[in-house]
Amino acid sequence: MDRRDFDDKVIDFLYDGLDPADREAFQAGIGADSQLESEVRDFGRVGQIYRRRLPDLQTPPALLQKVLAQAPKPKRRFAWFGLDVASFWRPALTGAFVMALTLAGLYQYKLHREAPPQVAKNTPAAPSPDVPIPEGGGEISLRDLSLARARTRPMPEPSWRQPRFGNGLISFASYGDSGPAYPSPAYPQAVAPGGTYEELYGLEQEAQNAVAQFAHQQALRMHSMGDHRGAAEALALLIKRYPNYSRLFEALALRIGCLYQIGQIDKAEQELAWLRQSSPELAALVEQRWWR
Amino acid sequence: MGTMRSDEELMVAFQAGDTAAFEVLIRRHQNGVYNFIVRFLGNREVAEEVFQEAFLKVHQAADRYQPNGKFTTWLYTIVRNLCVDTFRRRKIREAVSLDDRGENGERNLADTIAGDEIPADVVSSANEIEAVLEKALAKLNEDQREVFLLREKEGLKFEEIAEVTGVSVNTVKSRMRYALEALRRSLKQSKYRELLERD
Repeated sequence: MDRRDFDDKVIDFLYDGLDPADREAFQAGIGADSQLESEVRDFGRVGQIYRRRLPDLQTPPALLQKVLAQAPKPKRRFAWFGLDVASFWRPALTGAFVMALTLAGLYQYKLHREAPPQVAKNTPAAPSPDVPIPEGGGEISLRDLSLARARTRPMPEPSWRQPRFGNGLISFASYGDSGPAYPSPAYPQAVAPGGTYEELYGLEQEAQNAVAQFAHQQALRMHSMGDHRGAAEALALLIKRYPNYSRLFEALALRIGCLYQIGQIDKAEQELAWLRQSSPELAALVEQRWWR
Repeated sequence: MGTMRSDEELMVAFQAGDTAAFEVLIRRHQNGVYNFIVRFLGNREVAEEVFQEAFLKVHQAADRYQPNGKFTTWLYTIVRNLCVDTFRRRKIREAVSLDDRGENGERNLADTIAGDEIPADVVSSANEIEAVLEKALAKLNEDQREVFLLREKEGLKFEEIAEVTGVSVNTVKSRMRYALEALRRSLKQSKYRELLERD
């Protein structure tokens, strides 16, 4: 056995790290070399000497007491079935905590949020789905169909000017400030309080027409799908809200047809009479359709 | 009468808030840790400071202990790292104080660490054979000394020592062989060389 082999294997030999075959081979190898044999014997004895002759020291009692006294109270953590659940749950708990804080913040924000002042809203509000609509689309009047009258009719107070914080105008503190407001130069008032539809529609005629056209298309779609009641209601709203609509009388003609369909004959006859005054050609077409 | 709880069970209990479990662990390992520190550093006064610091660190690190690992390996990793840090700091101080020696070249107390003499406090508490053994141990370099102490006095396996010291198992075995060779040489040169014949 050469020195290198000896150095490689002697520790495993002394501490039972060799399998039986290697152990036997090692033993045979050192048996042929008295120097190696004596080294192995001495190594084994060095370990024994230190185990037997070097006594274990005892920790001084005062030192132990000091250590025990200094041991701080532990942080509480969970331990289920010996699993290190703290390290498992820590990220999840942290995430949940952050999420809870965020949700609480959002909830608080929602609770205390004020609707922002609608300073630039100069189109009439769209019909709210919550507003109950009388069967058959409610009533319309001749006044609704008179363009000249409609344009000069006093405009109702729009929703954005109804009393709220700052009367809908910009105040120093946008939210929660009930102090006096001032008209913001950034949002000039499009229409003076007490103005007319003409002023308003003069500014937004094209936008009004587009919105009305969209409502008209919706009504046509309902009509084509057989929802004559819904179409009649939608058209009534259209006629009332957009009296300057360029195809107002076509809308009325369609509504008269719907009223005939749902059996509201009296109403249909009355509105047909109005249509005759405003647009005899359309009225004739309606008569042709329903009176033949 | 209940069965004795393992180190790992005690550690889990401590993590769950059982303070008494930590006390049991300290009492169970106090002597092993104390012996290792004293013999690694060769100075009881310093060893006592390190001993306190070691258990404080064990406490602070308890939260990070994973029960799937062996507690003694984890414990001795902390203790050994503290010892190595302390040893290196003292060696630096020793080098500085060597420069400050008087004209006669007399040595100060710090020179006793791993020096030729047996530390005075060790001599005073041990018989002559023990003093020879301590001296031989103190002459080993720290890498060999820690491996020898962990194996022969604390009973750790070579694989565990490798984990504690952060080197390969082969390196640990190699250091063990150098340690045995050096101790053998020291004993042969002492007047107690016959110990090798009859022990």
